[in-house]
This record gives sequence, C-alpha cells and structure tokens, in this order.
Amino acid sequence: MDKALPQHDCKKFVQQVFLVLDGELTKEETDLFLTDIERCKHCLDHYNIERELKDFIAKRVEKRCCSEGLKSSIKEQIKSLSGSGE
Amino acid sequence: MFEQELFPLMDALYNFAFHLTYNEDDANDLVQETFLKAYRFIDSYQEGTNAKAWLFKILKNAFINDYRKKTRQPTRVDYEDFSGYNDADEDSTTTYVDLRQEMFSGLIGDEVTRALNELPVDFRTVILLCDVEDFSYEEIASIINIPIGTVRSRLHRARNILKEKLRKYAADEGYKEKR
Repeated sequence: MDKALPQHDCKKFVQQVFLVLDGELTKEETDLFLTDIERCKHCLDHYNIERELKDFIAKRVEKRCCSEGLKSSIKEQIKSLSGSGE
Repeated sequence: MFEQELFPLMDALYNFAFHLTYNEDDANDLVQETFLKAYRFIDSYQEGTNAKAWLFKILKNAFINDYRKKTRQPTRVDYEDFSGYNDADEDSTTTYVDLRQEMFSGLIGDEVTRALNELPVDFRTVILLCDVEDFSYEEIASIINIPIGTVRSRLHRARNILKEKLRKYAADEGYKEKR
C-alpha cells in the first residue's frame, strides 16, 4: 500500500492540517492525508493537538442563549411589521 | 419563513453577538437589529439558500457599521498591530506551536472562554464562525467579506495565539511540559 503514497512532506502536511479538520478537503484528499499521517510522529502529534484544540473550543467555549424575553419581543416586532404591511 | 428558518437561529446569533461585544445589552440590541434588517431586506434572501450565513452576515455588518462606530472601538488595527501579523503571510502556515496534547485535559472551559475572549475581535470572529458555528471557509469569507485565503491565514494565526495563551494558563496551573 505504501508504494502508492508519495514521499511524506512535513511542510505540506502541516499546511493541510487545518483544511482536514475544518472539512475543506475532498474525501479522497482527506483519506490520503489520514493514511499519510501514520508515517511521521511529529506530524501525528501536531495533528492530534490541533484536533484536540478544535474539539475543545467547540465543546467548552461558553454558550450564551438568547433570553425568552428577547425572543418574544423580536417575534412580536416582526409580527407587528408584517401586520402593518411594512 | 421567519418562523421556520430564521427564528430558530436566535440562540446562535445571540451567542455570536455576545462573544463579539461581551455585553448582554449590546448583544440583545445586535440580535434585534439583525432581525429587523432581515425583515426589511428579506427580498435579498433567496429561499432555500443558507439562512444562517445570511443572518450572521447581517449581524457582523451591524456590528462593524453601528456598534463599533458607536463605541469608537478600533476596527482593523487590533489584529494588524498584533505581533507583526500579516494576513498574506503564508509562511505562518508552517509555524509549529509546541503544545502537548495532555495540557488540554488540565484546562477547563472557563479558561478556553477567557483565552478566546482575549483574542483581538477579528481573530475571535473567525474562530467562532469556524469552530463554534461550523461554517465553511467560503461561508466565513462571505460573512466577513474577506478572501478565502485570508480566512485561512487568519484562522491559523488565531489558533496559534490561542494555543500560546492556553499553554501559559496550563503552565500557571502547574502543568510541566514533558520534554
């Protein structure tokens, strides 16, 4: 299988880490990346740190919700504008 | 249209507005203004397209045009003056910040939120849109009106600053890097 893989290029790999994590590559490109990742411990560590950070932000950054009062107020205003024909 | 597609996005919009302003009243005003503008300019929205990206763009523009002017906050200087950062600097994509994966396990949400809140607003914005709201680079580029290449480089820089802050927090809390 390895014979089909191009030579591992750390610089190129590092440039692609965010593209993979952010879902910006095609499935084929992502699959190749994830196969290649096993060939270099430095790149694997780097990838894992970035993945962990992205998950951490998504899950642990404080989430604030809109108050029920504001939701009702906005809905009322839109309803009122719709009714007035504005 | 409003009931089915736009009203369900109020919480996400409020969260974005709050992280831009750090102020509940200002976030309330921004969300309210966003919906009133959405109503006024509903003809410019194509049904079936990305309603969330459309509303976020309205909110971001309201933040830039109204909120920042009102509060006389700086616009772009905050990130341009940040450590000599240059959006076009593609060499930054190879920057490697040594942050041990284990460090994250010792950090709690408050510290991540604090680190994010301390980022200059332009960096904070791309992190929120990408990692919290899961927008694509193309959608982010449209929302904040910058080229996709700039989205990429800004995200990269923002994440490196964030990692550096988290590394410092972890070190302050007694984590010792294993070298």
